[in-house]
Amino acid sequence: MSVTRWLMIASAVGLIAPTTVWSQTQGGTTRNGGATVGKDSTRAAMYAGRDACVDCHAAQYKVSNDVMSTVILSHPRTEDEKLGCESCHGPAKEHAESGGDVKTGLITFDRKTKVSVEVRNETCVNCHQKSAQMSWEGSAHEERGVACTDCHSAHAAVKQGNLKNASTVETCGSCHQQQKNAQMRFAHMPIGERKMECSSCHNPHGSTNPKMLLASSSNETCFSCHAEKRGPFLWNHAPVTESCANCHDSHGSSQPKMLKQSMPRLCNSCHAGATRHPTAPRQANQANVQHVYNRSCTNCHSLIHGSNHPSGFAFTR
Amino acid sequence: MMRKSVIAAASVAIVIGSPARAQEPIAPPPTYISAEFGAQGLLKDLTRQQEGMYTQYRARPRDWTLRSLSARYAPANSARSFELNGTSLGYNDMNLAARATHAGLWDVQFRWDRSPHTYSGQWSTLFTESGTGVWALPATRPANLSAWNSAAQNAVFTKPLRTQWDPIKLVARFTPTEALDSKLEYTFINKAGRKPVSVAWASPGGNSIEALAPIDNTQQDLRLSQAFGGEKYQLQASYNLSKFNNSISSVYVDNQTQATDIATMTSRARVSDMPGNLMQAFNLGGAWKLPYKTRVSGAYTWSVWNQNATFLPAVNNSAITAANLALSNTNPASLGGKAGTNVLNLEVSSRPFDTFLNGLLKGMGLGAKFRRYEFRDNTRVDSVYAFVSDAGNALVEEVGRHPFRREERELSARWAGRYPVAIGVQYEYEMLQNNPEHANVFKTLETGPVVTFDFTGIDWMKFHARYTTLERRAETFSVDGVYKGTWASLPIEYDSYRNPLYADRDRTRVLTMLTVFPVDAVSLTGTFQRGKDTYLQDGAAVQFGYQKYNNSMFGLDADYTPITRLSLNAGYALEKFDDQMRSRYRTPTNVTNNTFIWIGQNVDEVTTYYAGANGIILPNRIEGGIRYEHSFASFLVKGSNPNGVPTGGSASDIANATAADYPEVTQKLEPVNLWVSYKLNAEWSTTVRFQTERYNQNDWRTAFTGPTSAAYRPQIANATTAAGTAPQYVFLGNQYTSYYAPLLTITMTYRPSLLRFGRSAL
Repeated sequence: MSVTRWLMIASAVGLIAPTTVWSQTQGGTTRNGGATVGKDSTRAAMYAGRDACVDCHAAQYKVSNDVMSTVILSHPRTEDEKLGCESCHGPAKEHAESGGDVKTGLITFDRKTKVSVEVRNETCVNCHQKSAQMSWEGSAHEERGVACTDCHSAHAAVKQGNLKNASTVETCGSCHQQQKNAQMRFAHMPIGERKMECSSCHNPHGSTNPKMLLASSSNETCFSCHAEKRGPFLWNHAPVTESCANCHDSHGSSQPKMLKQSMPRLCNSCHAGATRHPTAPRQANQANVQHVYNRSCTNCHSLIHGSNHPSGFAFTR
Repeated sequence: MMRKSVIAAASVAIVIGSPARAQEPIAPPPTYISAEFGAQGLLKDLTRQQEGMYTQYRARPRDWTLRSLSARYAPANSARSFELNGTSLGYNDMNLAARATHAGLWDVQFRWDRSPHTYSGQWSTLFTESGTGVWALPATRPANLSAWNSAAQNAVFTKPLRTQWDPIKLVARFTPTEALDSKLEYTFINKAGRKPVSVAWASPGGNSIEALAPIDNTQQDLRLSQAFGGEKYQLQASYNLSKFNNSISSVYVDNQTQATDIATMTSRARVSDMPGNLMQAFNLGGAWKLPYKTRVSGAYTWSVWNQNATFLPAVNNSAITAANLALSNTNPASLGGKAGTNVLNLEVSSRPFDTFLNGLLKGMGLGAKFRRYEFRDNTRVDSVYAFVSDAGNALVEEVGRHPFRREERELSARWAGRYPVAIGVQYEYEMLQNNPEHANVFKTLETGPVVTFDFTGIDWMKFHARYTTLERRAETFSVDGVYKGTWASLPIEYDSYRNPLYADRDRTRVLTMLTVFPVDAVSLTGTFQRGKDTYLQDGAAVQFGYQKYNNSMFGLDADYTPITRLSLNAGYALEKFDDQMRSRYRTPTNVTNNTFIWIGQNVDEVTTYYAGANGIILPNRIEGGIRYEHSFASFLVKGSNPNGVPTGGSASDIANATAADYPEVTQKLEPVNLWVSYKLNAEWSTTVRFQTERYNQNDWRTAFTGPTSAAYRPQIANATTAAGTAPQYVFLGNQYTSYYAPLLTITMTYRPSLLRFGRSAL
């Protein structure tokens, strides 16, 4: 490893120490000013009850009425759910009795809230910690400080999954701009047509797999719709076996079939080896036009993902 | 007809229209039905060729549309509800979904989401389908190129070349207690239709023809999962069964230049289709919370993939000698393919210092990750008798298997105390190990640090930066997988060859993202990314293969909500990609000619921008919106000979070794959506949508307007055929083409007054 990179690491570590000291000098507050949602019955007196909330926040309650969480809160099964609005927003009796003036202890989720992302997310994770959310802690989004409410709204969702935006790609695209734009390319998944969405392949709540994929690898993700390419075949194409992403850009491409490069150069990048056949640069106006026209190399090697034909070792049968 | 439909829809709107009434109730009624229906039509006719791209993943608009239909029953004071939702009903891109749920207890969902995949709106071929997947040419082939072109003029098919996807998904979820979650998912995908397929003759360098492959296959996936969760732990186990069935095993295609079998050339090729296969996977995962804010999680997946479809005969040529046919008959009946994966993921994250050292390092998070992905291939077939494109010579071909193992490790530390900064450092390690018998590179190792920086100290901005620098090194290079014999002098050259998947490489990636929201109404996000891959030159005189890859992206997004009734947004992005490779044209007698060296370069650039507005024009009466998007992509494939004009060898060799730029390819997509909704009364509204889509494509690869084929019909390219013989290369002429499609839609919407007005207008 180069000296530069070790210096870079050292610099970063060096930055941590003074900022840590800075943090100490600023002191700290307990999470959410000391109020957390819990099951401690001794704190029951701190809760105002749902009706008290609706008295003033009828508008929020109204727009929430088709959101699943509100339905659950109307038919609570656990002690936490019985707290109604306060199961998420924290005990609000003092807030209600003050006519809304006192906000200490409330957990709020608006963009400029002083409540830390960690506390806000913990409120959600208290209930949503199994199944799809099991890997939230430690996930890339959690580490980056993404708040659940950056994407979701418990009150004014406009899409299934309590999303704030009308589509998943709009939600994810607010940060992943390059991937959002890629769906407008010549070759793309049917995301704009609403036949797929980012969450068809990724679990934004975290996954033990790379790139937060739902499946164990990019290949197994692709096979969930393209099982015909799974094989194993008599003749496997090694880079296909290894990763579909070696040749394809699944978010969209200017090349047909969402290829990363134009053929024949895509194939040339590996097949520039010993034989005469793929080592020619192939001009556009040369005699053997099948090398560059139409589907280029796959004009002949049409079973490039693998062939089960005894004579298909060159993926032509 | 379209105009009549639109007028009728407008009339209905006028009849229903009456002053808005009634306050919206807070509580929804237990039962309601909503629907949006009306008329639509393209204001400009599209040719069949133009329809190809326009209907790539969507239906061709017809006169009437049932754009959406919803029904819901949710008994009062009950946690149960039943829903039915549909869109584009009656079209080949319709979506139908049903859901029954008892909130928090059980949930059953059904979804049928049709999707076309259109390859082209028309094609041209002289084939006739004498049986499913059997494509026959006239017994007497057209004698020459002129005759082919003439015949092709009368053989244009305007039925779209398309595969229809019909995925059906059923999900049932049961949560009997807070700690248990059971889930069953079943997906059935039926694909039917046709797609283009190419067939080559006497490879390499032989003729080829493009035909149609029938598509008739199904895929079934069953997934059962059980999750257990408590405050301190989560466990999850799942089983996945995936089965692919294909009704088509092969496609027969007649040879355009050979009407009868001869020993070196078949008159009819038999091309295999994808065989059926079966996959089963078992997964066990869990997470535990430990003291000091420590969390350990992991998952293990074991899967097995089987494929044992009967092999096709190795040859389809009656002129092959009996001895060679006998050899091919000794091949095994099927592969007995058995592969699979072992995947282990382990992760530990901890914040031990929050309650330790008096909080001196509060906010310091430590993490470690380990991942091992192993692809097994235990298939036992070592070799088969094969025929090169049905020519007469039997060859014993060695069957290579490609198991591999990828191991990733990561150590990280991140300090994210209170404000204003968070700094993360991680060290990544990735090892890839291939099968040494069938891979040029047995092992690669990629390592390096990643540093992240976040600033959130100002409540109206966020800043994130990430810097990655990785070094990949190939530990062992094997020439076992490289052709030998005639090319004996090449292993040295190969040893310095830069395969982009395995070669020594230095990689850097930079990402910065700044989000600013100075006031609640405004949000601005700027993104800059840059990447650079350098494939190392290790001292050899000439390094072949991949040389470099660069990319960059700059983007800006803005949202502005000046008043609650109006929201505006706009965005811009510029992306650039540039890579370079080096190669040498080689013939058996001209292996190391330096003037035959050539350089290939790809230069891509994509510009994307959009702007839109949504607003309430008249409260509780008129809403509307507009959105314009623009994506323009251009790419150049450049070619050059760095050592000057090629010399030496035959005229054909020199021509083959000469590199030149390909013409530029451009693509532009411009969709515009404009909609206005007028609320007639508490339940009824009418919406007018005007949507245009302009697509421009300039692609010499499929337009066949390039220098070679300007004189030929689009679907046939032929540069060198001698007079009096059939064309060497015959294509379907099934390319996408430019179009402009203005679509007008007028709909009526019935929606109970409790539902928000206009929210699904686009």
